[in-house]
Amino acid sequence: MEPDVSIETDCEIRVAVLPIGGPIPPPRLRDYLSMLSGHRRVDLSSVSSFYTEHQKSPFTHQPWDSGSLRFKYVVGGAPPSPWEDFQSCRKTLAVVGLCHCPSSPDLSLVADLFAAACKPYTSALVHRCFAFCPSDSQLDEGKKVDKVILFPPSDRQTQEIHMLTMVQDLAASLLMEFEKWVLRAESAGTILKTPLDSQSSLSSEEVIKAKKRRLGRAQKTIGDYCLLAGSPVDANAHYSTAIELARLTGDVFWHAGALEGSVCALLVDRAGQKDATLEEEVKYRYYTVIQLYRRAYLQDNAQRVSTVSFELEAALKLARYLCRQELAKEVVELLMGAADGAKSLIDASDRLILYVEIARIYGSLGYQRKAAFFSRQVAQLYLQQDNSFAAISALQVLSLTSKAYHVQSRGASQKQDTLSNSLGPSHADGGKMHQQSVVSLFESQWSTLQMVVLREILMSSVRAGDPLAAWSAAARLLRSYYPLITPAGQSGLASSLVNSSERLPAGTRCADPALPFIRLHSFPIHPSQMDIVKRSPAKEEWWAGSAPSGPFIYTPFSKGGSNDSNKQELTWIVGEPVQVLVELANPCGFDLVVESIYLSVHSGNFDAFPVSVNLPPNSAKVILLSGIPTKVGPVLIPGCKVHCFGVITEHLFKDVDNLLLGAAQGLVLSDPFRSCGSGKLKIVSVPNISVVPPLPLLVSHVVGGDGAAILYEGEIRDIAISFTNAGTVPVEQAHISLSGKNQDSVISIARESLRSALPLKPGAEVTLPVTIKAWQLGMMDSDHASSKNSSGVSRISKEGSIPLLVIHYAGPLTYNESPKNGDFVSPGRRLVVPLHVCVLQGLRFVKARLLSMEIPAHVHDSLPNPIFVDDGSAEVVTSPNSVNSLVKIDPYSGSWVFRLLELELSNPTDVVFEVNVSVRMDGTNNGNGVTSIQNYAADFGYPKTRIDCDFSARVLIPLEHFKLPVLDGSFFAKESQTTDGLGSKISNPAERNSKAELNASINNLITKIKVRWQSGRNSSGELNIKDAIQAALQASMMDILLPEPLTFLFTLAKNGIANEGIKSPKELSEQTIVAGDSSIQSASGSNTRFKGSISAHEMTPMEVLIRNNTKEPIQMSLSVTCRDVAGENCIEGSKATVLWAGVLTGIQLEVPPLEEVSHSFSLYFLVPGDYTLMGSAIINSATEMLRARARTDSSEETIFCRGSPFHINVVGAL
Amino acid sequence: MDDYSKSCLIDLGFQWVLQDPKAATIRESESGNSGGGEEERRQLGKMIVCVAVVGHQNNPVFLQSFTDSDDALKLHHIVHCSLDVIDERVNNPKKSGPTLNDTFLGVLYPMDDCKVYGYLTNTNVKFIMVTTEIDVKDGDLRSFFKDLHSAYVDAVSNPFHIPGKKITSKSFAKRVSSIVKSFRSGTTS
Repeated sequence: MEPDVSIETDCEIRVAVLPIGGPIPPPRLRDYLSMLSGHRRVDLSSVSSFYTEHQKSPFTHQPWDSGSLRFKYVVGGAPPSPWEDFQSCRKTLAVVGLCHCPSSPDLSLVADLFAAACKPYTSALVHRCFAFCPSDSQLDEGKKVDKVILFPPSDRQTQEIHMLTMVQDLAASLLMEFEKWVLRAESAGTILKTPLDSQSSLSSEEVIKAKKRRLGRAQKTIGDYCLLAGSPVDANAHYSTAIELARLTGDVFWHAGALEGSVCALLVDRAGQKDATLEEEVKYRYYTVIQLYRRAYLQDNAQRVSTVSFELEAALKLARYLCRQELAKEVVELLMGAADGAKSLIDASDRLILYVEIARIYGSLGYQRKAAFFSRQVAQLYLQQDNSFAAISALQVLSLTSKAYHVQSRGASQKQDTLSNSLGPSHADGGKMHQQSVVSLFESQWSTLQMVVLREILMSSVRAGDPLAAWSAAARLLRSYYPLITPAGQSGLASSLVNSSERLPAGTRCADPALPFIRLHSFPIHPSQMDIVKRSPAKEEWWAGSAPSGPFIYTPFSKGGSNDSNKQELTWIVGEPVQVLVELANPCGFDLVVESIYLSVHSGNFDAFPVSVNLPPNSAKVILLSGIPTKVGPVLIPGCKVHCFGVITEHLFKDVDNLLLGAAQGLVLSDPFRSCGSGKLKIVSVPNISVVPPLPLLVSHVVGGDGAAILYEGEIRDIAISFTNAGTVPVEQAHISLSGKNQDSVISIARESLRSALPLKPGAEVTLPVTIKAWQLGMMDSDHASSKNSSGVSRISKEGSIPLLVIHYAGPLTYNESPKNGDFVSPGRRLVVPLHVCVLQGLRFVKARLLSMEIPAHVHDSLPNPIFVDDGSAEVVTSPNSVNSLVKIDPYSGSWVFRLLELELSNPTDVVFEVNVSVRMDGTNNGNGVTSIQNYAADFGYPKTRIDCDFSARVLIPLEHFKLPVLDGSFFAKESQTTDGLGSKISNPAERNSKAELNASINNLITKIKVRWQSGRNSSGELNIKDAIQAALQASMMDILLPEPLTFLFTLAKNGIANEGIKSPKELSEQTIVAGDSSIQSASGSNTRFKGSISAHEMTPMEVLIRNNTKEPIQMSLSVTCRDVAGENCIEGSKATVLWAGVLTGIQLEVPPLEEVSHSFSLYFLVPGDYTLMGSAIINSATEMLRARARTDSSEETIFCRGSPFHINVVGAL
Repeated sequence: MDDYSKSCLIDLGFQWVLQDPKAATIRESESGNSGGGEEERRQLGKMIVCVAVVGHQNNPVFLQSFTDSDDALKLHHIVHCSLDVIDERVNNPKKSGPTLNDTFLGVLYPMDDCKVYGYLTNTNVKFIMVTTEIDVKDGDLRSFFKDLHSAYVDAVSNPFHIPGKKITSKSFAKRVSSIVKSFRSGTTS
């Protein structure tokens, strides 16, 4: 059988092309051959100029204008076929020698060699030897040696024209030879032999039969020559005769041959046309041909020589002719028939050719799988031959099939890929897979077939001595089908990988990755110490807006724009090492030694550091791959480079991602990571990584150790933090801010010292003192602490509760070597320094109480040294000499009040605390320039309170007296309204004002009080008493702050003169009496006599001032009582010791709002001693407000108002 | 062959575990000398050799052979190769003309000793049947494929079946064998 047959093969003139002389360099040989093989078809019209008609041409119908001669060049020649008499196209009719002159200097020797080379080709009618690139001397010599045709050195085009001429000359010579041959055959006849004939026994009968047949055979052969000479009409005529004769003589075999020739003549005659009738004709005739061949085969089956190959060739020729999608069914039937016929082929190479042809026709029909199947058969036939060339052929054929079975090497498939889509940022479409890869996942389920194919590739490449192909096949086999291979088989593959790599030079790369499986684990984000912040140079706070602010991770208002959320951006810095976590898996049953693995970066601006890993059987490992970015620009990391089993391969993350996706869908055999016990991991996409120029890098440490400072609640301490610039660029901008919890605890930061240190050169250091006041532990904390206290551990340090020092810093705005784009701004950085503070519980509040004490006022006639406040407001006024006094007079009630805040503190710690209370008195800078003296209570000389471990102690804090001047309904508004059942909240501005005033006064008070503590030598701090005081005050706030609706004040009428009328409220208010030294002294019962003191047996005119503190007029019935020391009423009764004039009971009065009314009366004391005067009033038609103040609910109840008692010291008469 | 090749080939002498462990003996069954097997089959009578279900992405979903001989690989090849024809019909639906909506594809792949019949569902799932029977009535084939189709639909409706994955359900396999058995008895009677 012959390869590449078609119906037209019959009209092709076979030309052997032989290299002659010295060795020809392969590229030159290829060059010469391409020049020659361009002329497969030579038009008769162009041949005519070389043609001379010696005799009358037997080709009467030769189409000189349209016909052509066809050549088939057989490079290297072919041994003569035993069947060449049967089909003249099998004869080698011409020999062309190719000679490369530089390597064969002696042209006469070349001529001899050529003559010798031509000798085996007995049927060759024309010989030509072409010599290329001759030297000048050879050109001269060539004139003598006429057998060698020299191609003078010139450009290619000229040489091609030269070659064309030569081929046309060759064609003409052949044509003339054919004419000669035909004429001779027609006249003298010819003896044609086929192997069939030679095998036949030469019985007499046979000889006679053969003689009869000879004529038909001669006609057939003449037809062949006509066909070769390009004259199909002549050929057809001869073939018709031959067919008739063969039919008559029963020469089935030659009949078939002639018929075959006639079909070829028909096709050549109708060159280019392809209509249905022609096709039908061809089909009909060829089926007949096949039938005839089969008959011939059956007839001669007994013989040793099989003609089955002719039948198969005919089938293949027809199949090739019909090879169209529409006729696929017919073609398939023909091919299947041919494939069946393979069994009866004796010669293995025949079978090989048959399968090759079947595979080719299937391939051109589009039946890739069938083509692959037959290619595999071809490969198996090759493998049966035990030589490495056959193995190489097998390997090549199998490589062709690998595509159909979806096991092709990536090196081969990549070429196609690069055409369609470049490798580039293939991760752009995230988790989506290419359609192609999905299909390949599905197709990969034909594992049974695929493994066999791969195994055959492996075996053939081993035999062919192609270690790289072997390595690649073994790698594909191991990587894709490890679950189907036993551990022993896996180790076998591993050792074949190793064996192959031993034959390869070191550093060989292979496109197909073997093990391990590598997937991206994660990109560790920058530690907070090295955070990179985008810089917006336009803003003062350049870092603002770069990081999401606020409590929400996602803000819908952030100008996200183009960047989608799942695509993270990563910034790397030139010269700063970065790390990437990848996970490796070895699902096989042997120890995998990865000699080195490093990140594969295609962008070329990254130095990756190789790592070597050992993976035990069935294990997965997460490893850290690091590297240093070297240049500014984007970084692409499609995968890892792995040096394993002696070969360097690139493992793409994308592939494994696809594989894992397929495994998740159940399409792929198994998930290599899962089978190694590694958990399921979300597919990590490679972020957009960009490299920026070097940035400064601040490194911080706390002076004196980075450990947490242990502080008691409220303790104040200075911490020094030093910052060093570890980068290569100076820090030019730096800004400190606070974040995290307990930010208030940072009292001061020496921002100036940092600012003054700028620019901070590389390597420079700056120290920054920070003052911290330990914060209060929360409820949870303190509970926790108390529970822990029992076990003696009282330290509480919560990572979450510490304040963070955030430093935004940046280098120079534009980097010198920055790329051309001017708007490039090098980013800044953020350093987060946690202020490690461990807060211990300090003193604890047990309780806070308000203690108040009233000391009755004394009634005297004169007002000692009153101080008149300019604006006349009802402010608390202290006389200058009573600074140290804690006793304040209530301007409204007229009594002395002494108020203390008692704090009960306990010490649960194991150290001793000393508590020191101070009250800062706000200076009321009065108009006289007399600034009241403010001091800390330490000035009072209070001793420090020492609280031992596990003890409690009470601390008294003096409270300044304060009250609101007006009892306003608004204060009760809310209450009253709720009692009214209206329930509506009406808050007028006045009401709010008064409340705010109230709160402000409380806060004011609180800020003045400072409770400091000290423990040991170093610890000192402040107690936060705000809440405690607030709680203490809130309970009795109404009583403390709100004035009584009515206040009573007893005074002696001046000089005994009865009251001179009601004074103006302003004057009265100015008259408000403030306690003085004298009063204290008198209160302490000193003997000092005052002018106008009260003596017994004397009419003492007095008056009582009733002040209305409300904004409404109050009607009342007033009564005044006087009691002696024993508390007896000494005005009424039988034993009254005090006589009186005027009205003392049931005085009907109406006091206008915020004004005073005085009522005068006189008393006559019969007995000297101490008396107490007290005013009281029954309020008529009390308002809601008064009721609320009196805390009554029912409207019937009478409201009774009582003033504070006044003391009167009555001395005996002198 | 040099030493290297020999050593490699020795290394390759590992055991292959395929779905059919005996599939390593393909060489003999494939290379044509299966005369013995043929005879054996003739003795057994006409029968269905193999039934396969192939998914819409040409992925094998189910493949079962009903012969005693170890020709799983060969059947795999036959099924795989017959996909060519189905692919062609799927890709050029116009050509099928009057049989546009016909799910039954007829003979896909005539071979010397057996014939391959195909059936294509609307979702591009292919049923392929390999039989050694030369003359089968069209109606028998159609009803066979219809039964197979409904069995497949039931198997795929299993909530635990992952679309695209191989059908591992034993009851499906059982049902297929019973369909095959009934086909055999139906045609022989």
